[in-house]
Amino acid sequence: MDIHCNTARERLSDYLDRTLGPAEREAVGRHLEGCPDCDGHLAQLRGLVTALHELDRVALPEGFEARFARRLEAEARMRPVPAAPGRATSGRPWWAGWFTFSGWPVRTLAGAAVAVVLFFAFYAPGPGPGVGTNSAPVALPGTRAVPVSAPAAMPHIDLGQDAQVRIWFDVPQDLSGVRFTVELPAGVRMVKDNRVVDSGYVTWEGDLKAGRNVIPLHVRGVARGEWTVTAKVERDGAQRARSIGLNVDGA
Amino acid sequence: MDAAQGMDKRAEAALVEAARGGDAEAYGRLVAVCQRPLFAYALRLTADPHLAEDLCQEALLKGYRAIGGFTGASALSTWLYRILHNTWLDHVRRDGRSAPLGDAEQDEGEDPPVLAREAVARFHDETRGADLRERLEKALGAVSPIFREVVVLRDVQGYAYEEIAEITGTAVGTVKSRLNRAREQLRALLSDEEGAEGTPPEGKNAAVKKG
Repeated sequence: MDIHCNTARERLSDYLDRTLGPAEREAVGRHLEGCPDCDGHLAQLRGLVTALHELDRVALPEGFEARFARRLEAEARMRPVPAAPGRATSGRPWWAGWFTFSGWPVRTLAGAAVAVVLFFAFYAPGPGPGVGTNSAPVALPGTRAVPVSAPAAMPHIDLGQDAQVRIWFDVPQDLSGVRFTVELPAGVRMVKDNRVVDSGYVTWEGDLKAGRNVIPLHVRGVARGEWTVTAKVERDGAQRARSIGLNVDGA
Repeated sequence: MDAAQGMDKRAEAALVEAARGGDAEAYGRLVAVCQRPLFAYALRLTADPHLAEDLCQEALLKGYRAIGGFTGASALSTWLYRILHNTWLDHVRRDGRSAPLGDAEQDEGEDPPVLAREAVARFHDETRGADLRERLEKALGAVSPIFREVVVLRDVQGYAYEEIAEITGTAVGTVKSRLNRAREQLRALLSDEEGAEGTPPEGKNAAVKKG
């Protein structure tokens, strides 16, 4: 197969990369032997590719890695805490639903307090996260620790003991008009100014700022039993509700 | 090209699994070796170090969020490049600069277009006295981004055709065609003969001078 210069030129890039079929390769090779113009063209391409390869010397800008580490850390805080051992994480991205619920991590607060954490991650399209309000855990005096090593166990507090139910909302951008509802069982009541509030139902409407929003609820065990605390969030007709068990015993 | 160069496959798999569970540190270790080449790629696409860093970091964070969807069918680096490619396309579209993408819609079966004679002459004027590296960098900047990214992935970063096809979401044949065009445009710009390979007025059958 004899080919002309134009055809040969179209094949030179593939010829250089050895991606032509045997017949085409042979045809181009034969043309090159008899055509110093195309042979020179190939030599130029070969020199170009060699020179381009030498270009791969770009360094990262100063501070790139540190900036990425900070952003990754902030991003990690936006993600739900992985489920307890034995409950495999699904691998589903945290933003897969409008409201995504993380599971029920139990954390030991500094000062050996009990903290029951209700964690919601909201999805809203938009730019990446920024960390907003982030309340530091508050230790409540006279409470005891829930071992982190046994997260599957239902957290428990003594009768008359206080605990903090912390509801976390992670949002990638400001959200307004969110309705929050917390339902407390008969054995658990909110505490305000060290006095038990005789209501098991709290609801309010509010806004969330981009980043982590923490709503701490001060509660007290008022009757023995295994109780369930439920939190609901609603916006634009979508609703998610999650519950956590709380065992009131002892004393 | 492997993402975690020098990393044991089992160690990489363990880090991927940890990252899927939200372990940011594991993800950070996993992508540490990819940061520089990803940035280099973004820099070539944008010619703007600040924008390149923004796109690169955004893509890496997207990777963290989406690591649950990483199946391992391709190398992690290829998967990250693909995310960066899409992040760049999104940026270009959002920015209203659709011109660079217009070339992608050209019929790939057409003869490789060469640069206009005036563009080649202007390039020679602007780069007179510059060293080869500088001329190469400027020449890359003169090539349409959609062609440039293919030549960068292939000739600067050493990716295989199949990997480039996966990164750019195109067929291998398209990759070859774009690479051919990009190389031809670069060769014309860097040829010592000023304007030698400008668009021949006679069309594709015009004689091509030897470089």
